[in-house]
Amino acid sequence: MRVPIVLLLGAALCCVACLADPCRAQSAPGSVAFRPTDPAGAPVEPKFKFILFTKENNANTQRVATELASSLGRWPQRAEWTTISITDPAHREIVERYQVGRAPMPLVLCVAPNGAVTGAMTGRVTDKQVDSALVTPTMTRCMKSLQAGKTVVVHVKSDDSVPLPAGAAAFLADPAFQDRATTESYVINDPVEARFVKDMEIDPATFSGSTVVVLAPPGVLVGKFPATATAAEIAAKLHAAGKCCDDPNCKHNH
Amino acid sequence: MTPNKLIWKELWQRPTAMITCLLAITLGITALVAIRSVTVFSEQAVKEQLAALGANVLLLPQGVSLEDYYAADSHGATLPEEYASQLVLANLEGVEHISAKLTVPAELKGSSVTLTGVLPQSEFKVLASYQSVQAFSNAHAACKQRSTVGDIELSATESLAKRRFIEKLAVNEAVVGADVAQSAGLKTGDKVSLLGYPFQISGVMPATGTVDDSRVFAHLHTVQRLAKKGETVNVIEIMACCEDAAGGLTGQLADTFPDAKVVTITQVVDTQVAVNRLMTQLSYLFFAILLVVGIASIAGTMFSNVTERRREIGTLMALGATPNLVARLFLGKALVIGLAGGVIGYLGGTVLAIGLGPNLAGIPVEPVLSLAPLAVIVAAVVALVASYPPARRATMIDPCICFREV
Repeated sequence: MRVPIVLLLGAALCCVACLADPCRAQSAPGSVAFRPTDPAGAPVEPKFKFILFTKENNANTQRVATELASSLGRWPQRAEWTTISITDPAHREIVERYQVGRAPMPLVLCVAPNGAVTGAMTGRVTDKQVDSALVTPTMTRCMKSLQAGKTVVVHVKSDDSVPLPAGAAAFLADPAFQDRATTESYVINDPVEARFVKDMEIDPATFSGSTVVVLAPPGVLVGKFPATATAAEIAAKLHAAGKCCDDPNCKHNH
Repeated sequence: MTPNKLIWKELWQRPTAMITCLLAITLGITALVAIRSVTVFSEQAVKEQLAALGANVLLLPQGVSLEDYYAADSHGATLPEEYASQLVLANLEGVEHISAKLTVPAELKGSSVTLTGVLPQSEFKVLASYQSVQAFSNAHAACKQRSTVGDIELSATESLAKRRFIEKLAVNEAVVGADVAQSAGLKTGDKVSLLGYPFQISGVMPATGTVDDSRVFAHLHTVQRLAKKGETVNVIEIMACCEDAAGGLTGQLADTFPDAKVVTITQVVDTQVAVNRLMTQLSYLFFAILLVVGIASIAGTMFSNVTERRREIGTLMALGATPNLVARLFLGKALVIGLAGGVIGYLGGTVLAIGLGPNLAGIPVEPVLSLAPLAVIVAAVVALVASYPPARRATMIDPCICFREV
């Protein structure tokens, strides 16, 4: 009787292990679909999608999957995740789209609802990294443009009636930049953009009128400009950002 | 007869003594000028090399020893290519560019060439943009990444020659070094076969004076495939934004890649800097030795001159010459020899440096004009110091004793 009991116990352990395996719990091979989160089928807010790219299902992959699942458990309404094996021919299109075929594995990319990649994690997945990748709508639009190789002029305004400052408008109309630059805007008191406001170190209490924030590809903060900044000043700062130690923001300048 | 005429006559009446003193002082100055000239240009060459390479850091396989920065990928040992992507995603502070290279031997038109696979920057841009969330952090934003807006200024070949990376390179394109282009008669647009694969020459690099002149550069992934090397590289060159950042990077790189070796360009050129320092110290040592020998030689010659001329000096003083005039005669003679020795020593040292510089240090040497006044002043001071004791003895000669000897 001892042998069947051992076999039964072994089988039970295997089942538990399979259920506990976060990688297996995800989408089937070849599928890039994400887990439905609203069984009632009601319209839901588009979620951030975390993609765990793997080469092999080893202990490292298991650990990262567990960390990711655990961290995203804090954001069930905002994010979901799936696993993609880069060696699976069925996933070739998605691997090529994100150009991760030769990236270190396992790799986690966070994809915003608009398609922008808002975070990349290798080695470990921490709550801080996950929280950092869950950005505001304006940030996702900016990142989408940055990833398309465009410079982004973000107009932060006190209310919707404030027009884009003349200097920023002239910069966007400049033939040297008009095809390579785009603009985004938000109202400073928009609660959805609170993180952007905080990250930019803008004080909503004292803010009035406009501030222009310029971001350059691949992901560089060129600077914050007052409404009075000219197009030439913005362009000069943009060129200086190409030489990082010439940038006054760089600590190596101090 | 004026003191100047007396000095002039004295010099030419005793040519052997004059030549001995002149030789002693000239040799010292020649050695000093020659060694300093070579050292000045060697230091300049190191500075230029540093400026051209920027604040570069190399990521190499463990156990690889590096003697030539430009041949850092010619050791055969490999690293995983994914380290390059990991570097991009790590978004380390101060990293401007990353250039991963794999080198294999190949044949081009029957001659052996070095085929180097290099990963163009365009391959990293997408991955780099995945960390664009950093752009929203206001603290030291520019140190994290640099804008790529102005990266289209250099041509592919100039970029590869001067900045060690290439912006774009198609999988079937090759860039050839100046020497390869000359020996194989290649120009832009030509088609060649390397490792059995047809490449189109997209550019010829300007001469760099390094091993890069005898290389053919192609896309890393093409070279990996042709050489059956898998997804590996021999070296990852990291261009840091400044020396300060490069220094800080080494620790982070060592932590991120514990199984790799991190070497900064400063460490590579440290050997050359040490040689320069040694040459400078040697030049001072040589000079000190020759100074002592020169002073002893001049002093000895002058003493014997004073002894030989006791009677003339005594007669001169009996005729009314003051001790001050006698001292002026000897010191004036020393000054003329010193000045002449300084000028001849400077010219001789410069000629020697120009002739030996390319052979000894492998660098072209030109006259260092700033050494000329130094050489002349030092030579004059040495001659005067060496002649002072004999001149002083001459002023103490008693004319009566001299006449008694007669």
